[in-house]
Amino acid sequence: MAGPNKTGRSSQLFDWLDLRLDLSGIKELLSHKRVPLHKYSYWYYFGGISLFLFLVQVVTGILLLLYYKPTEAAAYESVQYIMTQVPFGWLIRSIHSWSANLFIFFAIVHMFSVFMLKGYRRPREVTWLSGFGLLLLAMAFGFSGYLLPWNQLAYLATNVGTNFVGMVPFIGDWLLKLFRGGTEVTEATLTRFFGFHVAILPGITTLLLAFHLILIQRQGMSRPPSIEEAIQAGKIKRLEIPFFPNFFYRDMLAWILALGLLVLLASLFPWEIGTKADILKPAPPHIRPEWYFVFMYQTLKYVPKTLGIFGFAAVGIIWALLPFFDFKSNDGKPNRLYTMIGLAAIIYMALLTALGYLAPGE
Amino acid sequence: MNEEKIPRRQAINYMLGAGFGALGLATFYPVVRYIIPSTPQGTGTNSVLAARVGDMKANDGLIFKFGNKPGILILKAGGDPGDAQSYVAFSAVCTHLGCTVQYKNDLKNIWCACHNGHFDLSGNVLSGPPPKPLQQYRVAIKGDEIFVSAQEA
Amino acid sequence: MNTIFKTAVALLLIMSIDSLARQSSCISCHLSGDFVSDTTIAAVFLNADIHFHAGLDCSDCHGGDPAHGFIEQDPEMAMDPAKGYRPPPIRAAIPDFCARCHSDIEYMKKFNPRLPTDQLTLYKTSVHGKMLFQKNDAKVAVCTNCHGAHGILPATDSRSKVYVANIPYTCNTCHGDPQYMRGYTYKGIQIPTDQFDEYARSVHGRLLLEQGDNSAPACNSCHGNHGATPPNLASVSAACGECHASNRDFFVNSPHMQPWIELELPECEQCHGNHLIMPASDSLLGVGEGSLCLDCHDEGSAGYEIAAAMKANLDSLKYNIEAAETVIKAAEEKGVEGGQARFDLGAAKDALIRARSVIHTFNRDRVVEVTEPAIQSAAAVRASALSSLDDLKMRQYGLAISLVLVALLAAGLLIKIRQLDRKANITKSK
Repeated sequence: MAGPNKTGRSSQLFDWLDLRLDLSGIKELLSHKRVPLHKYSYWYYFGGISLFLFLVQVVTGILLLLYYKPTEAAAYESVQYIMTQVPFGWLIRSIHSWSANLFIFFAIVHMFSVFMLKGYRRPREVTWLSGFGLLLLAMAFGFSGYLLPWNQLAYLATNVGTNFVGMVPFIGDWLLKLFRGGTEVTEATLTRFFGFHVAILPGITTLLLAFHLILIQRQGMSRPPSIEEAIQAGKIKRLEIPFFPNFFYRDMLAWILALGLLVLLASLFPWEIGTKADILKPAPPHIRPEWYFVFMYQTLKYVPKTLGIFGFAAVGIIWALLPFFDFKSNDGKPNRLYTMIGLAAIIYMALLTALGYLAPGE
Repeated sequence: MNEEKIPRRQAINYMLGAGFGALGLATFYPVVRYIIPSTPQGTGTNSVLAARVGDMKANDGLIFKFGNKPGILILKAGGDPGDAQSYVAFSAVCTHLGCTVQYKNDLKNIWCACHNGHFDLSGNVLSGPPPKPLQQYRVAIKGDEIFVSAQEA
Repeated sequence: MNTIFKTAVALLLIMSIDSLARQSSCISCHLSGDFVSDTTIAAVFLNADIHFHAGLDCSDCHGGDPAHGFIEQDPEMAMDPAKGYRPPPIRAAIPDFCARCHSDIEYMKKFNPRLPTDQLTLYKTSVHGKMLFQKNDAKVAVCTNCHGAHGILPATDSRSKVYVANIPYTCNTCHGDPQYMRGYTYKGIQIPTDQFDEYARSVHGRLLLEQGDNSAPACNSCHGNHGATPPNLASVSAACGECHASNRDFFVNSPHMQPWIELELPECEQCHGNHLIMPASDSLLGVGEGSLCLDCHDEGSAGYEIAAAMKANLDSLKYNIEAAETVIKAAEEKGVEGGQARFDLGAAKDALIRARSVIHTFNRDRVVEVTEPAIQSAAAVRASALSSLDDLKMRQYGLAISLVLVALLAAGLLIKIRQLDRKANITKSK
């Protein structure tokens, strides 16, 4: 904002808008919102970065919609067209592909940082649940979007991925048909995934994201129990900075850097087009799903499939409900057990992902 | 003290404003270029603009790009350039070893220079080594544009 | 009682026969197992035979009086030579037997005006015909060996022994049998019996027999049908040139033609073989491993130089095409569309195929005429693909500029943050 000069143009603009949109309520909230400052404060940025990357996805996704054609005859060719003929098409598409991966990556980092800093404890359990739901939606976005270029890699990965859906007992076959639009991965699957990716998932995500953000605004940022304890013991001061303008500009800096990273990756490592999907070609060995599924895929190579699928479902549910059982954190005390659980989860995911790439076995 | 700081603060604000403005333009420019359609999309293999009415004389052949392969458009001798029935179009890839065929206006048939294969104006093999007829395409005229598209099977 | 019973059976049989069959004692007797041991002849004739289909029956070839003999139930009457009965001919008499109708133009016009009537004349000029008529050798093929006797089908019928895809097997019946062919020589050398094996492995044989491409040559395409004779030296290229016309024209006008004639070498066959013709590879040309030029041209000779030069031209063209394709592929991976470039490269690829034909002129200048422009064109395509890769460099400049912008903005933001923090008296600036 311009300095103390109240008749500056920006405050005139603000007054004009305020009169019509009644922004003063928001202004009040923003002027009072404060963000804690402590040695773990850096982790606060990752939620915002994830949000930024999601917004990038929405914008680039809408732009891609102007040229993409979701049919077997034209999907691959339309992506090729975007990459080679549309001005800056290569940039938009590569940003979309890179941002998808970065979004999921930073969302996972955000989730684990919240977990390790106990940001999920009372009264923020529902925020945690909505966040976990958003992560699952992000992975669904990734899975459905991956098929859309209709290249050989995507086709095979989708085949393998949806196969696992079919292994759910009792309703497996029915679920499989629901996902694939038939018994096999065909053009029907492409249409269906396109519908998921551009309509159904965005709709659900918008609602859940709005919910998530509103809750955060209303509840403010939490401090980890260890910090709270240290403050109460007088070891460190209780520091805060105003959200607006101080944290806001920091957030903006993070977003600018993320944008820079995206542009860098998209320009130096444009996303490949691949070869068009050929349904009749046999699958080569060592197919992998996208990296964020690899730890699950690799696990399923070591344990029987049904056990594995049930296991992951169970783990997912437990992970979502963990906050409700962290009584120590609710009391403001550090919970070593939960910290260990978090670390174990991170290490497991990292290790299995690494194995999936270095020693996939069969 | 404040007097010194104010111009500096304003300088920073202007710089930031300019910086964001520049970033905005740098983002806005590619998006606008992207949205404005340039080369016609078409999947390229379904329907292609081969020529315009008037580009060809009667008893003449023209090689054009169909997808990634050459195609040949022929205006038959005595044909009306504005009538789609006067044209025939084929894949110009010879069915023998893949050379590009050409129209011979003295023989009024299609000839492949590589091994002397001849095709009639229905694409059938007249003589020489080609084993199969040329794939025939459909010709349609819209306004003054001549479109060639792959036949429905 | 017996006679009545047999008549009844005969009548029943006759009534169950196709309406085209007239009341014929030939059929009724020869189809019934009681009278003759082999009923297959009649059965085959009735089942699928072009003569039967045209409305002819046994007596049209064999004569006799089937109607009369039927009523009287007297085979002797039916097969009475006085009534024109012609018994099944001995092998040496078969050609004349068939030619009685098939060389009669007026008669044949009634059935199929387009059918040739010169088979016997041609046959008499063939090796088979000459051996039969001049040497009285009845082992050679006569009409029935290839066409059959009673189940004769037109050559366009895929069940026929002379259907194009069946011809190699038909000829091989005799020509693949070493016992049968023993003693038959050509120019003093025993005729080999491995032609079918070689042909089946050759490019023509595989096209016809494995891929079902009926435009591929079978035995008769080069040797002829009724006038079957191995092509003599002067006409090997005529046989091959039916399809490979350009190569024939080039060869016949090349410096090889005269020496070939003097050395009595079989034209195309000298390099390409006769039955075991494999797809020609570029290594046949030149002075390297597997090349045929070295068979006659020693190192240092003019021919050697020309061979090496022609091969070098071909190789250079191939190299340029590959180089262009490599760049196009690299550009495609980076996101530059390669369709136009590939299309343009098509001309160079055509030239390569043409060049492989033009080498049959054995004239280096003619080859260069084809390869040189193509090499230029391929090089031009490669250059343009490279420049499109350069265009990609533009992206990196754009990237660099955006990153500089981002860095400046980030720096500006950092300063702003520090300012704001100082204003709000925040001690730790992060």
